[in-house]
Amino acid sequence: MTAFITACVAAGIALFGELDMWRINGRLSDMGGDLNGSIGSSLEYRNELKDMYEQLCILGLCELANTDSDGKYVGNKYVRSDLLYYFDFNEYGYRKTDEGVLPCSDTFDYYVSYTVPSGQADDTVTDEETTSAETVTSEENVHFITNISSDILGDNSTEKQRIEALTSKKHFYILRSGDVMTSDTASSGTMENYSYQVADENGKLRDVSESYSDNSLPLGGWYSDNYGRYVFNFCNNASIKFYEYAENTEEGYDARREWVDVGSKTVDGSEVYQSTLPIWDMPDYKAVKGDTEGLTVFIAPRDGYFKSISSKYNDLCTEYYETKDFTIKCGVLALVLIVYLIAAAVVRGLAGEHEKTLADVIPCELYIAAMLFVLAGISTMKLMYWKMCDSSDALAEDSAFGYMVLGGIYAVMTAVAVHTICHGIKLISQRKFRSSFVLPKLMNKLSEKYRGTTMYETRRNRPAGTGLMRRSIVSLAAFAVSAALLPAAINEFDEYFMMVTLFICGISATYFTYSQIRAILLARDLTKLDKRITALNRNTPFEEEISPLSELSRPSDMLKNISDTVSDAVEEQIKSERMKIELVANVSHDLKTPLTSIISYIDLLKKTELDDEAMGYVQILDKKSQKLKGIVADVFSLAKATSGIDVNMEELDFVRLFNQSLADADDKIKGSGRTLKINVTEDTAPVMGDGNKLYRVLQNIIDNALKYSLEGSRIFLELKSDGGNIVFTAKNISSYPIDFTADEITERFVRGDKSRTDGGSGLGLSIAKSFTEACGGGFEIELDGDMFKAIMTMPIINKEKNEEKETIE
Amino acid sequence: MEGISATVLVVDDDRDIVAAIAKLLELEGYKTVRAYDGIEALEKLSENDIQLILIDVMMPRLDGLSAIMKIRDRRNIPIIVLSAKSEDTDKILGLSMGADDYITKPYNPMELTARVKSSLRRYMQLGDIGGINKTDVIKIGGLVLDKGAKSITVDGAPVKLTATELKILELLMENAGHVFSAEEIYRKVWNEDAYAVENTVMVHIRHIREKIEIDPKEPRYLKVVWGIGYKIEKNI
Repeated sequence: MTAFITACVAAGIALFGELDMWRINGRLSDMGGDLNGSIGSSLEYRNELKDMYEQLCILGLCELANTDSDGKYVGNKYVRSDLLYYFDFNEYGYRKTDEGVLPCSDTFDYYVSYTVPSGQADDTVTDEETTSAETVTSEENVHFITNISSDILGDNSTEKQRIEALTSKKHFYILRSGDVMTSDTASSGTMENYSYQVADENGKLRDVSESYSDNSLPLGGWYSDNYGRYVFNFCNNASIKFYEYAENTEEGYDARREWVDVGSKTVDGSEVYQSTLPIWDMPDYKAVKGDTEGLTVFIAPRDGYFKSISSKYNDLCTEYYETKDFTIKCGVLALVLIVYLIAAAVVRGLAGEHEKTLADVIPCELYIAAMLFVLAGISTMKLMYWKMCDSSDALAEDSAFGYMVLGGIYAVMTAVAVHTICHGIKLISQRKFRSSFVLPKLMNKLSEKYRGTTMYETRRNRPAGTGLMRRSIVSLAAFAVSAALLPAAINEFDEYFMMVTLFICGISATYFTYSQIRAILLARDLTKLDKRITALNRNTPFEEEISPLSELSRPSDMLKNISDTVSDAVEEQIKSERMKIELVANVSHDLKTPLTSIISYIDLLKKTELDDEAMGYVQILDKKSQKLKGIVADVFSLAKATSGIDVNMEELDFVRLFNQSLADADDKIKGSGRTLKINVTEDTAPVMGDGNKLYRVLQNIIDNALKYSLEGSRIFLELKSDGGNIVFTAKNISSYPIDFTADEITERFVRGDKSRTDGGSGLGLSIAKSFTEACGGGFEIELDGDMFKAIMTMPIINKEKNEEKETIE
Repeated sequence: MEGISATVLVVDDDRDIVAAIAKLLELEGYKTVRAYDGIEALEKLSENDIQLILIDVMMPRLDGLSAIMKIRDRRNIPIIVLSAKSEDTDKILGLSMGADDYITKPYNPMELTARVKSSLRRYMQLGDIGGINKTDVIKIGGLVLDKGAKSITVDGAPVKLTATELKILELLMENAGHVFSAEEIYRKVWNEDAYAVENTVMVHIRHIREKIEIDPKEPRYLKVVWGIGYKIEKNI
């Protein structure tokens, strides 16, 4: 517990420290770069320098150049009003006087002058303001403005002398008559790439890109056009425009038209600006590059400026390194403790020693939400902190309260994260991770509740597919409406109509998506249903369940009912079949036991001294009991054959079987007085069958023919192959009138001559039919007058083909 | 072999059947002891000097098969099962439990006495036959072929066979378990080409059966494999 709290506090401090380091770094870069960079590369410094430089250039060119020897502005009044507006609008520090404007700056010393070319010069103009003095020289007519004290400028009367006095300072930039000079020691104020447009002598405009890597300010330029525009572009990317005409005049209106791009259209051989207006609105456009001859601009940082900055900078650096040191220490401590805590949780999990705590009650979803909140929090903390620093430095910066609040938030975040990880490990080790989620349980409960409602019942009892059809029809209708409305809505500019259409289209699209998702789910369930049917067909178990919420759950359940009913019925049938056989077996057993006694005692009687009459009765008893024995055996074997049990299939030769049976019955045939006509066309006929049973069939057929044929008649036995079958036919002329149907004779216990009581159980042909069918063959009786015909068919195994196949392979 | 006098234990829960069998055997000159269930049979077996047991399968208290297993733990005497169950599986089960023979009810009294006789002969003369130990003697169950002497005994009783019959039996016994077709038998025994010989071979087979089998219709040794050929059972 102590470890946990310590870890959280340490992590809170470390994370806050990191945040503070980032803040200090930000402040440093505000001031001018990073921990290793120079102060002068600060953006603030550079922007101020650039702005000041441009102001001075414009001031020189617009104000000083149009000042007469009395210090009075003599230029275009609209241009001057634009100039003042520009200074106003950009909120530059300047002072406005009756004579003109004076820029103010705490950071820079400046000096700007304009020398009127000799010849047209008037007398010297003096600027009374600030410390600068208007100097009148004999050789030049120079107007200048400066915030540099006259102590430094001295009372040098000539421009050249003044400049020489100024350039003794360090870190300066100077523009003089189109030439740029810098102090060689300058280490800041870089403006490396710079592009602007200039017009050449013919008024053609071109892009100019200048690169100054030698720490100097760029020259830039200006131009004027035949629409009364003055465009200045010295340092900033945006051009500054002044106009010769008032805004409310026609010329002013034309001049102030905003042109968006430089085009390549040529009118009178000149490249022109292309405006949003048609080109003929700006006929004969021409721009002329302005002259910077006579302009002198001097700018340099004030004494002590860098000094004050560097002390602040050093403080920040010290703070940064101190914070960094402390942060690393706390971070390492926190990391070690967190690793220890997680390792401990893992160890406890492996040992199964986790205790039940209050945290077990909290569902996993809350933990996951808390984790997400922490992750989101870490990324937003910086933003929040930065805003706090900007809005109220007192709160966050150098405030113990601020530290505690932010550190505390971080500590809580860490606590949540570490606890969540440890809890997760605990859950996984206890194999409770899945069960600790509440949402699925909740969903299940809801679904259960829903399944109890009548609404669910109604929906469920709808035939499957009606839902799909309804959704598809509605989707199609919605699609049609959207398709009809959308083009109209795009062409119409009626906003209300447009909004309604978009609303309808949105709803349509939503419904279409919904219906498609439902269709996909339905298709998935359809696949499952198909699998279930296939499984049912193959009699294999089906595991995948269809959700009770699916439209196909009812058909699926019904199918399950059918399959259950069918399998129940089959089971029932098998059971009853088995019971029947058991019954027959039991009955025959029950018959056999008394029969055994009867036979035994008849036998004993036969061995006893009896008179002839009694012996005659015993003979009859003997005969009848033997016959009963035969019937019981036949009934039993018939029952078995019908149920298909006790059939041992093997490959055998039907022709051989026939010959064996014939040979076996040789004695009977010879003693019967009938003639057998045998016609066998096949040498061999391989079949699958139970040899003993098929022998019984042939034996029965032959016995039957011998027994019931006309005395002295001929019996025809024929063995032929017919298609894929071997067909055995026995034909004989019945010795008695046939008064039964072919079906009757193969039914159990039906005999041709109903009155006859000698020999046979009456089951012979029934057994023949049952046994043949049990071996996969066919058996039928044909009757034609007194002609009795028994036909037995067995499928031949296609042995030759198999052999051929083998040889080919 | 009228000379053998032995005591037979007859076990069946049907007293009439026991009485009938006992009477039948007594007429043949055997002494009989009667029991009506498995437990009683075991008791009677330990009380008397019994040489053969005739036992039913389905009986109260202790059924026949269990009784056979118990008897086989101690005694080596012949046991004949007498059962109403006529399935092959029942027969196999009975024989594998240790029974020597299996007669289905309703039995033929003549067959019953014949089987009792043959079993007793085999049991009594077991020592002699075991002592012969000649290499050219083939013994399958109670069927013994002495190739040197060209003689056949069934359960110790000599059987007269013709030369052809002897050759067929020799062929089948030497390859017990193997199924020969009629053509194969003919070629090997007659040394002639075989054509439509099924009848000839079958006649001889029937004759052999009549001589060596107790019930030629339910042969124990020489069997027809329907649709394939003929064979002598390997394991009896």
